[in-house]
Amino acid sequence: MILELQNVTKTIKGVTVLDNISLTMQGGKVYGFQGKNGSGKTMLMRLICGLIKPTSGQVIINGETLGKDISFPRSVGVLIENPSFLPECTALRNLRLLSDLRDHLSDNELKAVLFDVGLDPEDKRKYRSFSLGMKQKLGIAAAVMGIPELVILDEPINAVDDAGVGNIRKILMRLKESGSLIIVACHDREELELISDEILKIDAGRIVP
Amino acid sequence: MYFKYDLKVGFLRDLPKLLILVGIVLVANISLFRYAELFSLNLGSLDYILYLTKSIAPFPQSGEEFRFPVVWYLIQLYPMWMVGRYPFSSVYDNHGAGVLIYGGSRSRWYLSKVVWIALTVLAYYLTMIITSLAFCLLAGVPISWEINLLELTEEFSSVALFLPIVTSFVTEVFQLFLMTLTTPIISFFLVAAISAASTYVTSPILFTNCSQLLKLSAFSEDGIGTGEGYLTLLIVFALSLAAGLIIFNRRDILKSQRDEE
Repeated sequence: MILELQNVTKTIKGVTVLDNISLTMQGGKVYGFQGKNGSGKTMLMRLICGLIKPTSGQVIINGETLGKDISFPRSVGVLIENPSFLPECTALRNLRLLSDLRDHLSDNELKAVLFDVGLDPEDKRKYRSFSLGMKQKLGIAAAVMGIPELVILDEPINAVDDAGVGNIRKILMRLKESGSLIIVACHDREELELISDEILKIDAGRIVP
Repeated sequence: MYFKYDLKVGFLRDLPKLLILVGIVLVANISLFRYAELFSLNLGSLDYILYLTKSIAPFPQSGEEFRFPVVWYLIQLYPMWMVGRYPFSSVYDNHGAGVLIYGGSRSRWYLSKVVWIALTVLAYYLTMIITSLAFCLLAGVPISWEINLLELTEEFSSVALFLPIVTSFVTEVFQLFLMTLTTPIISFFLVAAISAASTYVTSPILFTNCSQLLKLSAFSEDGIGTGEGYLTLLIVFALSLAAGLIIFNRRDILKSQRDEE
């Protein structure tokens, strides 16, 4: 997996939110995005996902241009903003609905992902009754199920207890070993340094040294 | 792949909401039943079904006082509300964005919503027909396919009877297109306003006229021709679909768009 951003600029309503970003990232590594609120981290993640289009420049994933050759990365897992799922469904049912869109994972595979993030795969409670931490764990599970080539996680450890953070670290390391390219944005600087192979500082829509 | 999701989440999950429609239809059926009793009209089951979409004759050509067609309007509003709330309801949050991304194509996502609309509209009209037939059976109204309630003109063709269904489908596809330009709430009110205006002004340009049986040449001398109606709907459908696809393919999916709504 090779992800290239070539002179990417994004302007929204006259405001430049991403300013001439050029980057190359490769599979088997964890990239940490560090920056203040409003620095452009989430916008950059949305752009890499294909949710927003660059005003100029291009995003190339494994040789295919986003928005031209492909609408979205072919194999991607995302957790951007706060996790949200269908409130009347269980964790397993929510994962099943998402998985059927692409991977068609078996129930056992989905249960294994839930177990890995620290959720009870047999839990019959609906998503609406989940605590914040459980919702976050389900968001992580949805992003990593099927071992995507590209994993994008915005604030993955929000509201997660220490044991849960440990589980997430293990999952990310496993994904990294399997060759996934992982992008993480996190306010916790120590945590970000612990899990990342490379830290990219973003300020006012630019990558800064 | 998107369609399977839309079928499970957008269609089957929302089926119980059709009970509201059953209520509207039953109230309309009871009202017609009393009217028929009062004026000793011999009506059959098809009359009860057509009553729901008859609306009013072209105004002011009919020479009658303008009376807003409440039953027809309520029946039009309901699918507008259904379409207004589902397709773009979650696309701005993590789950909806995930659905869009995992399916892999903006065009397929959009086309799946069009198929979902077709299915929703069919289920909607089927519910109306079944409810009316059930009412007729219970009330002792003869099950017959003769039209007694509306006066047929020389231009009558049974093909005209399907215009309300096709118009509802096209109206919702148009509403979906509007949602790519503005918010679901504004698009709902725009389409509701077009529908309301079409009760007063008879013109194929206000294409929701085509879903009002009494505004068709099959039932009114001054009405819109059946062929003209279908052609208008085909043009609106093609333009809405093409424009919606183009705009949705270029549109940014931002959280702030949801916040603005």
